[in-house]
Amino acid sequence: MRIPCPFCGVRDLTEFTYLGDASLAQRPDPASPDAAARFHEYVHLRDNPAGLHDELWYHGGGCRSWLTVTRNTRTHVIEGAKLTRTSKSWTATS
Amino acid sequence: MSDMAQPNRLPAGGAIEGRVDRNRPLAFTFDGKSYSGYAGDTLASALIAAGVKLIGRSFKYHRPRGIFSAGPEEPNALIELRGGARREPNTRATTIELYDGLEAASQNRWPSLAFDILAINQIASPLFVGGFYYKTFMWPASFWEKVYEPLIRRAAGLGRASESPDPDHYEKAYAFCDVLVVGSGPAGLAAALAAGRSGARVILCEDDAQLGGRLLSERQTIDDAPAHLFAAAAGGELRSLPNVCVMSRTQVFGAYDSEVYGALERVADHVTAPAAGVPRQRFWHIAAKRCVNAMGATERPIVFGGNDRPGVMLASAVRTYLNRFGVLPGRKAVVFTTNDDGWRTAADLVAAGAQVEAVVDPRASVDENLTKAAAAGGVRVLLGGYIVNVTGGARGVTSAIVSVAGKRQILTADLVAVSGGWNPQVALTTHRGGKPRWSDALSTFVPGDLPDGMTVAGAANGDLGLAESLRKGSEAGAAAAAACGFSAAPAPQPRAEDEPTAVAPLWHVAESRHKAFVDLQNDVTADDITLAHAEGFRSIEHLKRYTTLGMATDQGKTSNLNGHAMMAALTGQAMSDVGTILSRPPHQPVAIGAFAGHHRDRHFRPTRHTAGHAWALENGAVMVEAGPWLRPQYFPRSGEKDWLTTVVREVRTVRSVVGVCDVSTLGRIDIQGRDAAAFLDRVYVNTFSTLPVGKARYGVMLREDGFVMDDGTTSRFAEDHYVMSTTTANAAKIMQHLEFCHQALWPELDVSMVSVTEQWSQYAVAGPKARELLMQLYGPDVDLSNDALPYMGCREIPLRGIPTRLFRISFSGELAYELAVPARYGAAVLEALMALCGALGGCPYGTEAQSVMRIEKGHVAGNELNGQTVARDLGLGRMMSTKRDYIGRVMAGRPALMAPDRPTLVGIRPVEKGRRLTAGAHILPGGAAAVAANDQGYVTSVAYSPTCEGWIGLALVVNGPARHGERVHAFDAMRNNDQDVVICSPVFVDPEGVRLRG
Amino acid sequence: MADAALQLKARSAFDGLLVPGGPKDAGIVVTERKDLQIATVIARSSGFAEAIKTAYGIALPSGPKRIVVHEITLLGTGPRAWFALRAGERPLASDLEQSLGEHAAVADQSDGYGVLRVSGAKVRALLAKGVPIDLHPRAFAADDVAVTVCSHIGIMLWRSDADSSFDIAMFRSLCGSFWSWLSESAEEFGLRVEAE
Repeated sequence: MRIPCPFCGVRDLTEFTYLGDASLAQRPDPASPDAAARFHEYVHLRDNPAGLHDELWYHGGGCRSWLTVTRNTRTHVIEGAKLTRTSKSWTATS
Repeated sequence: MSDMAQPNRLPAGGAIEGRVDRNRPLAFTFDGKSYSGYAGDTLASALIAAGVKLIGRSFKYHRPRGIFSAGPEEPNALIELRGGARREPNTRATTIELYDGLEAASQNRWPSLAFDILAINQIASPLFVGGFYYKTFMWPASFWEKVYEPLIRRAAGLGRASESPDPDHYEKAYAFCDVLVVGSGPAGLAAALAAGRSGARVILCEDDAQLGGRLLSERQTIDDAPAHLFAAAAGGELRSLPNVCVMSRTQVFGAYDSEVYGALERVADHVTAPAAGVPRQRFWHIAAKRCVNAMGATERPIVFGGNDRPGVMLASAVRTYLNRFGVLPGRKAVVFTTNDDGWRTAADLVAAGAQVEAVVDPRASVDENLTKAAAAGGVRVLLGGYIVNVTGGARGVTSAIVSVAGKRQILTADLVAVSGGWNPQVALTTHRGGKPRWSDALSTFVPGDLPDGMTVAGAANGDLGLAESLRKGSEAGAAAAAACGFSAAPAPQPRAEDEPTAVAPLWHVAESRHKAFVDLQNDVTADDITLAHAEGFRSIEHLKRYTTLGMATDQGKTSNLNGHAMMAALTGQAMSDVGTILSRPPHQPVAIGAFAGHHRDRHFRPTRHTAGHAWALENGAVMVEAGPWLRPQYFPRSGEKDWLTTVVREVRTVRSVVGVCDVSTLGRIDIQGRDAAAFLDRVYVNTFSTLPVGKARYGVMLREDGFVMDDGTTSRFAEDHYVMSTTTANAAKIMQHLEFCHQALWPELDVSMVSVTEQWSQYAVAGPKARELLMQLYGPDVDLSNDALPYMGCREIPLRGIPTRLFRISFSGELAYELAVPARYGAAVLEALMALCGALGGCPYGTEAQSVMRIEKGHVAGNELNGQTVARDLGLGRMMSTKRDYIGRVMAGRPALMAPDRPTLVGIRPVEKGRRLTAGAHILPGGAAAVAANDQGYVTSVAYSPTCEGWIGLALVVNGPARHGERVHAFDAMRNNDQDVVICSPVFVDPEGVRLRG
Repeated sequence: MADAALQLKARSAFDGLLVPGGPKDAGIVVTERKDLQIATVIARSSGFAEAIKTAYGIALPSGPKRIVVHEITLLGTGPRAWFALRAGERPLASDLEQSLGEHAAVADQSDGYGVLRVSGAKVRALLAKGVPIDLHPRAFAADDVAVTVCSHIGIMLWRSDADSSFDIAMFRSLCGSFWSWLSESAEEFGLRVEAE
């Protein structure tokens, strides 16, 4: 399998580490009254869709970016990948 | 070379003479007997030339077997190639290029090939029917190990692997192209030419040593010249193009996700031994934007009585032996074919001077041209006929018994050429989940849904005619190149004809009453299919497991379709409903060594060495693996009788004088930014924003589920600059975690981190004379007093012009420092330190002594940070901030993780003084039965403590801290080391911490 | 111990591994680049681009690209990360810190990496045995940079000026393993080690 890293280009699977469902980037508010229940869901519960799945991969063998990769779990076709760091972000070269 | 030596070699200059190089004779041995062949032969063609018919014994029944095919689909002619450490079992004689000095031996026979005792299995054959493993050997159970298993192992098992290490090396390599063309038959060559001429980067892989595929085996013409000349010219043109890479002896064995293909290049299989530096095989990982699959087709046999006898051969293989190798597989032949293509074998045999007794074709009528040509060659035509049995023995076929309209006749023959039609090589189209499609016209499966980026051309797609293959190949090649942005002016198509290819389905001659083989390699017979059906194993996946149909080296290339069709007839299903067996890569056998490549023995994975590595080796260190690193475990001195003596001496020296330990392997992460402090407060349970500049603090990190992930010391060098240390084992994992926290969770923080592990060499200097040693190193101008550098202080201090960092931290519990120096000076500083250390009476110490001292101090390490402990379990609960959130805080608050009766860190001592403790022992209340319900925890770490003069341990025990002084039982049935122990404080040495503050 | 006796000797990352020599017609030529000052630079704020422009008068290209400015080679290694090299003794990290101030996190890595220059007619055939990326001139241009792995070892790879010459940087501790891979893989092409 090859993953199109937005920075490095298309790279072999061996350069990446899989983490899991992209919902892991949405850490619950620890101050919320139901934080315990929300963290339980955040840590333990995952959807397991047959089809498109957003998931987190770490490009440790490359640019060290965390990526949100959209993969079809039926076919392993990678539909796309973007840097997980998007919100409030800026680029250093623009 | 005399005809005596190669009685079946066709004479040079005849109508058919083959294309081996008769000027280059090659000597080889088979079962110890010397033979000769020519350059360009395969082992199989050379054996046929030499008149050798019997090549091996079959898997279950030990029936005599010969050469069945001329390619990688060979189920019978499996041999042991080479001798000694290079002996390789189950290689296919049909794919082995002959080289001078080749050694080969038959296999699965005892005591000899001609006289094989286990051929008696044929008589006992009812024992070996489908499912025999499950039935025959079930009772009595006690017979399994002593009787049945040895019997089966002798009877079956095929060849013997060498028991010595493989002396050759293997490589992995990566290749990239626009267009990958698999196969160099007419379609493949045409595709490669079309793509190559466009300027696209093309890789052409051909399994054989020569390009051409079937063009090398047929008497066809292209542009009015023999077809093999077209192949040679095409190969020449392709090799001349700088954008084309032609890889012969390379089989593409798998299609993987994202348009990646696996291929095996047999770099040096065709020579006695690889030249220096040359691998035997190279495993290619090919990323191709487009792939033209032109793998061709495999001829399908027919199942009839005696169809396994030496001399029964695929009809196309007969043509290969004649036209390519110039050898005559038989002098008196019967051709049994269900299709027009098989008739060509009769014609070629006649042209080569052989006698063809008859062409037997079950079809009632065929193309008139075929029968006319046969008649002209003096060949009888038996339409509507079947071969029901072939007689013969170890010396080969003697006759074929043919049935025509219910009447039987015996035809004398030493060769039976068989063709049931052609099966396209669909494997590469299915590896990514594609399902082949049934074609009634061809009576076989053709490629169905194709994987992304792949097109199929030529016989692989069911286009069997030559002109059609050339045209479709060319179109596919041009289209693939165009998809990559390359185009070429259309070139004129080479002139060729489409030969007749009509076929009628016939899988099994039902009239046959003799043993008729579906799968030659696994000895699966027609009766086995019937039996599997009768016993309910009817799906083709069940059929495979029950009968072993389609298993082993050939993976059913010549057997699956017939077997499945026979089952379909029994169940009344259509073949389109039966489908095909799920096929996974590799399509052909690939040696494990090729997958491993360079990564074998000490190169299994990269090894990391510290700058002090050479010094440690020179000073006799015994090294130990710590993650990817090698670290000194201990430094034995002459006269020390075992490792424990050494470690005790090292511990005593540190505790009484001074010692030096290389701790460069700890992870070091440089963390900078305005929000660095805030970031650390979120990833550690304790607070780092309050850490003064110039100070270090011990920190604990949790996973988000509340369990401890790692610990270490983090120091602050400026308001916005920290250096974090991690455990050796977790360094990469922690870096990844911190990047996740920053990039995914809190991208708004101004914090950045980079590993500086490699920039620094770091040495622990520990013991009462540690300060004295460092003062000598730094010289009189540097103040290392308690005031200048107190416990948990850190400073940047130049040492003879080089920048160093000195940390006043202690893992041993002694007055201790860690000295970090730029790695290029790591070796020199270690040498200087050790010279001073030795002069003071100190010594180097390794990981064992370090571990003993940390257990004596009750410091937790990997055994306690085992992924099942929370901070409270380790006595670190008070570190957990109550004022703010951090990773793992919420989940660590779960009631079960807060429960007071969780196993918690304690020390233990044996009741019986001097008794050895063992880690992993379970703690039970005194007198309680050793059952899980009474389990109260376990021993995590033990050591012989020179300071306590006895064994001590750390354990996690229910309510542990409240139970100091209690006597409990340490249960260790595994190592027979049950004993009573006393619970105590985990800090065995200097509990007040006087020494480390000294 | 007297100062003079304690002149600390620096050892390069490939010290003891590379022995100069080898056939004249070798397909692979290797040189250790010992004289480098190295630093990692991570942009901390959106002011980084401006700070670079002010200090060096250039705009950094985005992506994995190489640019040379004031004798400093800057390699794009991540969305906000650069690997900086400069030949000679002059400290690089402190210079960069001064120029970029609070807009960048700079760490001296001069000791953390070994850097080899690998060249020769067979250099791409050699690198194909370990590097899982396409180094064909059509795919990997003169100013391209890759952070990748070679034979399970993390590397940074960039073209030096010649077409068939690459510079490869890897962690110092892995230089031994890298060298064993390179020397074994290059054997069939012939290998010559040259002093810098």
